[in-house]
Amino acid sequence: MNTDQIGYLLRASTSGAVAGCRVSELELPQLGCMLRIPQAHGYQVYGILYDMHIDDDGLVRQLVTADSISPEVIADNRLHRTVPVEISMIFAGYQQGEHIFHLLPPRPPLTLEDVYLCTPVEMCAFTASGHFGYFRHILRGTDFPAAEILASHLRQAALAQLRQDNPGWANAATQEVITLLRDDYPTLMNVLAALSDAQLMSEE
Amino acid sequence: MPVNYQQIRKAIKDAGLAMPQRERELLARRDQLFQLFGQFAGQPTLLRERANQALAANPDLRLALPPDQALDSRISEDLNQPAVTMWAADGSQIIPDAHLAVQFGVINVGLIRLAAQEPPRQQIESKLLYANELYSAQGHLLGEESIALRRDSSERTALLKAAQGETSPVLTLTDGPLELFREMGNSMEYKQQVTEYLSILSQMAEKRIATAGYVDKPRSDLVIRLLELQNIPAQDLGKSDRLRSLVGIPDTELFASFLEPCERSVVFELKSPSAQYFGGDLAIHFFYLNVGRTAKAHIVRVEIPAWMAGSESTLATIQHALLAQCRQMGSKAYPYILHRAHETAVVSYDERNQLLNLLQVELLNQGLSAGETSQKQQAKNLPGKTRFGQ
Repeated sequence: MNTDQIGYLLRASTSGAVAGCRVSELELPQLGCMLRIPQAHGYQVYGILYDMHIDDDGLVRQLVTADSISPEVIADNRLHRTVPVEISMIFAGYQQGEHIFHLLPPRPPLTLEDVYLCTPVEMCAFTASGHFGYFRHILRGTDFPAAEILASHLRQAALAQLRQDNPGWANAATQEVITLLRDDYPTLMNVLAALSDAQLMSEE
Repeated sequence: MPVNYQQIRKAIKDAGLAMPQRERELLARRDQLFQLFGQFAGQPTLLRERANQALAANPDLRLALPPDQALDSRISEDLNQPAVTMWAADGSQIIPDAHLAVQFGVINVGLIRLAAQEPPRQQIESKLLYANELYSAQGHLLGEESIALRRDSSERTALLKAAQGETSPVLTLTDGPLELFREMGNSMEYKQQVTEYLSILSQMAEKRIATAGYVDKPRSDLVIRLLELQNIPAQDLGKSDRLRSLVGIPDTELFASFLEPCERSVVFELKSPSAQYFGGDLAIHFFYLNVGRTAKAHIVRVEIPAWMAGSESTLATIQHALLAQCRQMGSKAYPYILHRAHETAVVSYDERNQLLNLLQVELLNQGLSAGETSQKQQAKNLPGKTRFGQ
């Protein structure tokens, strides 16, 4: 597996997808990070991670009752037992050739496509393209904590932009959030509180 | 209605009525057993002589031969044992089914390796049985017993292959007895499989690869049978297998009465018709081990070959390694590595169907018939009847 590859696609729809990865690959992705799923002919789909799901099973439930679990047993469970971590993402846009669109992809990727973590440069390229159109995909979400995901994403993107000499990105992103939520005061307050906790402005 | 509940209910009621009487009988037998044990536990030489007399009169007896130690000896766990590399194997199989479109069998062996400070490893060895391999020398389609015998042999072969590359001390483990205990009598095939199995065990002994069979919830009464002999007159020892006075009490009840958690019994030699194949360094020995908790004993039987039984340090290593494995499983003590080997090996019903499909596709690719499921099986595969309200 490529170093930036975090897993393979399990299932997808027009608005999002779920990828499976081994527990040992779980160190790379984090909530709100950007993922990409390359396709043929210069087409690739971008997503934002909003959930990581780790299932238990009968053996794990029994093992936790032991006084102490040996490192070999923990390693065996993480390396070999077929309990994939499920990583859920919403689609944020796609790339066709040189152009990046903050629209839902024209067709969802297929099962077992490689799923990669975006590098800071790739993240900057996507987030600086257009005018934050992909925020609406996040804010539309109802089955995940949108404010928290957005705050986490903005924190990571702002840091990447800062390192790419684009310190104004975080402020412009926050202004865009305020504009998008100007008619939805409760959600706006929720998002701003999360952004405050994310200490987004201190990165500038 | 799948079961005639009226009939079964009556049978359950009848069995229930007989239960108190049976319990009283078992109680009386237990009293008798503990009396015998109290009287003879400290006299292993006497017990051994008696057992040898009985075996001379009837070599097919199945019982335990005691060592020169008191039977009520308790050996504690030595926590200062060095860590060993452990390999465990477990097998699973697909038994050829004459009703399927294509007859085939599979022997699947799952292997797990655990060693301190090393990444765990797992392997799967799968063998397809097809065409001529599906039939015995007499031309019969291989049955459950035959496949099980081959599976047992494959487990041990896989362990030898895996463990001989190890440079540090290694313990190989399988679930179930070391003895090949199959209801195949003295058939040619049984003898052939036993010969191969013994060859593997011999190679393990030569390379000093420790090996053990772990029997969880053993029902055997090998030590009980040994004690029973004391109640039988010398002239009747030849028919002692028919003069049973302590039937229904397994050895585990006896050892649970005095083995504390983590303690093991002394090592006995196993005498049985099939154990006769295992001689010299490979003669099967066993001990009982309490892997349970205080006031909740759980006695298991551990079978080992003779070359290991004579070494106190090897016994201490096995005892500690097994207990350490059991402790990993929390409240339900069972070696973690064995469970993982089972989990790795097990072949599901869906997998059987997938393999069948692969075989059928291959036959079609070769321009051959893909076979046909028997009409009986096709009828069985029909959707079940829908009950009212469902």
